[in-house]
Amino acid sequence: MADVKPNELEQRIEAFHQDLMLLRAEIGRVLVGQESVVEQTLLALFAGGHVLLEGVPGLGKTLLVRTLAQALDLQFSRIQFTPDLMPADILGTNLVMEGPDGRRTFEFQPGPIFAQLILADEINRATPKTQSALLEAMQEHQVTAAGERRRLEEPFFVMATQNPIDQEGTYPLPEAQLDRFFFKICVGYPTESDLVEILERTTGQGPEPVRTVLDRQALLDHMNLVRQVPAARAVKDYAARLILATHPDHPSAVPLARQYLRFGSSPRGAQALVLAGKVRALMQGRLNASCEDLQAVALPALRHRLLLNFEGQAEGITSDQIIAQLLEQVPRLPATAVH
Amino acid sequence: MHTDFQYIQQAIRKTRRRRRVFQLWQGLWHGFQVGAVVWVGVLIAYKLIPLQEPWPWAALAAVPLAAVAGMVLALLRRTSMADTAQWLDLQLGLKERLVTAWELAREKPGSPWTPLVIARAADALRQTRWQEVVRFLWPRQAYVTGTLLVVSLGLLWVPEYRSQGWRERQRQSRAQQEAGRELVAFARRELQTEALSPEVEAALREVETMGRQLLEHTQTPDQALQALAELARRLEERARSQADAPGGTRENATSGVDRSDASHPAQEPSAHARLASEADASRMVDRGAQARADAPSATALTAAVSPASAEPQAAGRSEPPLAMAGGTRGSSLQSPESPQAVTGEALLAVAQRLDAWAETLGAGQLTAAEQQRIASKLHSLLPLCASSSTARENLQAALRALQAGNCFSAAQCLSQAATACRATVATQKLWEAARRVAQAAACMGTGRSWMECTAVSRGGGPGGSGAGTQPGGKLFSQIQNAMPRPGGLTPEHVPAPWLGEAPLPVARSIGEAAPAAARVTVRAPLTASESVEPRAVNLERIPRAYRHTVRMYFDERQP
Repeated sequence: MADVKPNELEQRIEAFHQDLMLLRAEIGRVLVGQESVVEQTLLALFAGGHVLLEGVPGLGKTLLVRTLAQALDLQFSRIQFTPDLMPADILGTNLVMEGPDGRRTFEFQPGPIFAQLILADEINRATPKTQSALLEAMQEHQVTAAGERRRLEEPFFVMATQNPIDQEGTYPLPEAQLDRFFFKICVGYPTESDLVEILERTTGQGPEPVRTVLDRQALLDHMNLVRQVPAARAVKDYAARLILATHPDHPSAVPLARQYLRFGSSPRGAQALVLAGKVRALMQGRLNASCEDLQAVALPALRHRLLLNFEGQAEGITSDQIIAQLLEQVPRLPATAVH
Repeated sequence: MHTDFQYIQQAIRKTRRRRRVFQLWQGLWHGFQVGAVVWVGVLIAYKLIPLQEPWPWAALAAVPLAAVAGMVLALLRRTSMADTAQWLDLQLGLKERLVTAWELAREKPGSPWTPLVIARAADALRQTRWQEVVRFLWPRQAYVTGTLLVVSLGLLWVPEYRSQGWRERQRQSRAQQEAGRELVAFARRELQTEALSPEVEAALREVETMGRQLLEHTQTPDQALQALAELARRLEERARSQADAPGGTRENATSGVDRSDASHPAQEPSAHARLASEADASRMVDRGAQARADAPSATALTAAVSPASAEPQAAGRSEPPLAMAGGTRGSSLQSPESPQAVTGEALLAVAQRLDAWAETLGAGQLTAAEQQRIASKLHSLLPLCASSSTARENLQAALRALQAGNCFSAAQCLSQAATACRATVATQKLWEAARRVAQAAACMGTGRSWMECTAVSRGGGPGGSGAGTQPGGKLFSQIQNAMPRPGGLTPEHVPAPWLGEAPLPVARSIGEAAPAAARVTVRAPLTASESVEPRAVNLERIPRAYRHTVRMYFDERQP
């Protein structure tokens, strides 16, 4: 990186903005509305994180992922999670294969996980055992099958969807699994105008196919670029203060966290905040992450990392309420910088 | 890049300097606010609680001190350039551009991001009016402080709430200190006098010790009062025993002198002039005369209020007063400004002269003319020895012996007269000490000042049953008329030292005065009230000094 000159860096930043614009335009051609969902999905994409999309059926979760996969020149794989899905169905298994010479050998048949963009549809319908099969792949970008470790090709994204209603026969994701998702994005209902636009597009002629606007290498370059965006110590301090304020036993915990949380966010939450903040800064044309960026990404980055206690669940408290209080009460300036 | 960074650096530095000055300004007002809160708090507390007097003043002094402390604390609170950059970012909405640029320039000057970030930050900074970020406005603390000071000014007009008990305790404490101071001063002054008898010296030491104890508050008020009463009684008994001792004098010195003054006002200067040839004696006598001339009112008052002393005056005789002749309860005492104090010195001078003449006469070989001259001088000393009837009698006997030509007998009489004079002086000092102690008890018991109690003691003296304080005495009548009491209730006897002009104990039944006919004794209403209500005597209305006495009185009169 030291060899990169400032004008080259400027060119890379410019290329990032162009690609981002194209990607947005391509997604926007298929998906109506849901700007914040698209924005957050792209944030996670450039940060190299996995996304958990939550919303009732029919809101375009799967469509978003599929469109994204088509717009990016990445290997796409869709796994429909069902209760009878087994880990081997995801990871792959050794099969007895007969060679030309008639000899039979075990040969590994890779599962659908061996792709670059995975759509894990209705992930909470699979058993915890099957869900856990994704842990290693999501965190370490590798799979261990039949005692052999196999690398997954970069970039590797898991985009999972889950339905918040119709909970019968579902298995809530374990905390360890949840923590591995970079963002948890809640997909809401479209507005009236958006709904009309959806009707316009879907009840007429079939839409034009999605064009590929970003190849794999460009995406990797952009992912590398966003990690270089500088974040001041003050911004990192703010991220740390935010995370610590979610810990119910910490002195700086906000009241709602103190009362309704069983566990606060893990350090992965702070990493997600800063990394997403960097991406957002670059997407907005700034060359440095700011506290405002952290505030903007706090909801998707932290909401699945806060574990409510029984009292919180009984009171109907949501993680979003606690995060809102967090952003309101945690000071942006350290005590030394205040008057 | 360099220019951009310099611009950023300059902006941060200037802002930091201005913030520092503003912090001082704010610290000043913050300190003022804390001081004002303390001041108002203490003032409110002072208005409600009996705090010591210095507290509000100390709190007021704390206001400027707190302001200075606030400034010092603000001065100590230094902010770094990075903190200032971050603060400036927040104020100008620059989204951490400045602080990032500052950090990159310091920590990663070779990074390709550094010039870009600095250039963008400088551009963003140029589009703002960063010079106006730090404004010197009145801080919020200034308004709060102003309000508090106005409140405190208003509070100055609010009177303090103090309970009656607290006021009484304060008054008593002040009175105790004053009494102690006066007793110590009196004892030290008297101890400087030459030729004190050991008994008098011991008595004065006791008085000094008592005064010190009062000053240092080593005893509770009740204990101190009891100790004072005890000491007064002891001193009075010593004075009485001194007066009753063989060779001593039994009579009231005041009465004697006053009687002499009243009956022979014109003779006094001539009597003194006759002693002018004797240097020492004349000096003493002149001082005595001066003192008497200065204090005619005290002498007159003492004579006026003392029926016992008034009686011999009217009769023009030199017999001792009846009260003293009986050797009963205390002779009346004199105030220090009354002639007795000086007369004591004059009496000592007279005793000295009498001893000298006794020696001369005892040696014999005097001519008739010389005997005549001594006789005439002795005659002139008679008024001065009026305070001691024994001395007076011995002098008259010596005169008779001289007229008969019996020099030896005259010398013996003169020698006895000198001894009587000295004993009279000792008695006077003991009475004076007892009077002072009783005066101190009066101060403590009533909470009055020493001067007020002095006026009282001049008027009646603390002698209880002495001149004027017995039923029928003038002072007794005056006090009886002045004091509040149930109709017709007259104390028949107060069996303890009682201080004139202070209210006498009053027997009351709760809610209603005991009905009684005029001039009835205490016993009748007391018995009546006790039969109705055992706690009919309201102790709260009895001055502290008399509670013990009143209790004893009623205990003695249980039916």
